[in-house]
Amino acid sequence: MDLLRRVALASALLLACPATPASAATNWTVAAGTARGRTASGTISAPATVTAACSGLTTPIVVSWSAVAHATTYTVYKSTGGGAYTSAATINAPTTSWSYSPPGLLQSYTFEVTASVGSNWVSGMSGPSASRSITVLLVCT
Amino acid sequence: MESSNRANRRRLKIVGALLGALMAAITATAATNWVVGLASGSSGQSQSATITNLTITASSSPSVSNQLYPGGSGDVVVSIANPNAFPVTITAFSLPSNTTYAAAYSDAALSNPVAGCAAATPSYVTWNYATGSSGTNHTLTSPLTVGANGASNNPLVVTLTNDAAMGSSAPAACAGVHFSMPALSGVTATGGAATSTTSPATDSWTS
Repeated sequence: MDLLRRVALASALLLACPATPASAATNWTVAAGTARGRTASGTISAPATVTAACSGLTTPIVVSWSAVAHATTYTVYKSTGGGAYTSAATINAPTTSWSYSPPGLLQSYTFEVTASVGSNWVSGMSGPSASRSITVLLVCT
Repeated sequence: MESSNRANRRRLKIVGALLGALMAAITATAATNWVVGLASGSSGQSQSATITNLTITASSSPSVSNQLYPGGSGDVVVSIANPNAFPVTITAFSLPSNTTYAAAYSDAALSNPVAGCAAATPSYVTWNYATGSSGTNHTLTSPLTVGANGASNNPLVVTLTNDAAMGSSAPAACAGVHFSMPALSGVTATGGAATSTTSPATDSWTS
């Protein structure tokens, strides 16, 4: 009878505690589904302007460009004597200039710059800078 | 002897009745935990009420202000519909793992996939603050209440500020596109009377 009394007491206690009504605030854990959202990515643009200036009458040539939003690095391309552009330097943002000391005389140089973000996003080429030359008298013009 | 057997049968009946009452009480208590699916068309049911799924879908409007760039974070726009006859207040989102990636589309309607920036490529676009484990909960800065079915602010359009992330190795094909975010694992919500959040809304989780 002891056992019966204990079971009866436990039952009475449990029944005395009402369950939470369905209309009451209740925490729901919502199961997995196909719920999604939309996001969008931007693009990386090339520097709008690139300049090449003589720093005084002699070398080096200082190449400068306008900053690009979100860019992490810039790559400077150089053309010698109107030839194809080749990579000359990679500069980390926010720096937006690079100094170049030409190795030879009587050559003209133009520069273009690309901007990059991350390891794979690269802008197109900027427009070319003005042409700079080093004369036989080591004067930058 | 016979009276003893009769007494035993009576005890067994009483014990059975009491156990039945216990089971009923336990079942009623369990009804407080409701499980509701997110997928469109499916539904969950508890002992005390039937709850129809919330539906969370991508929204093409408003436009995304903070766009994604490699190594950065961006906004996510969602539309949350509540087909139930009572408001639902969402307090947290449960995210898939940080290796579950979004797929890219060339249009805001997310209908034209972009080759070279698929979920399997991968795009390296994930939910921000997702971890290596699926199902981690991320509490919203402010709770979101979606009105009852047919009420105003249902569906509720929400911009989740900077809750998408793009890895620095994202392919070049992932520039200038739209993404369908990976499916959420779930949300934590509360049902019952509450003032609905005005749509469109802005919210976020920050950890």
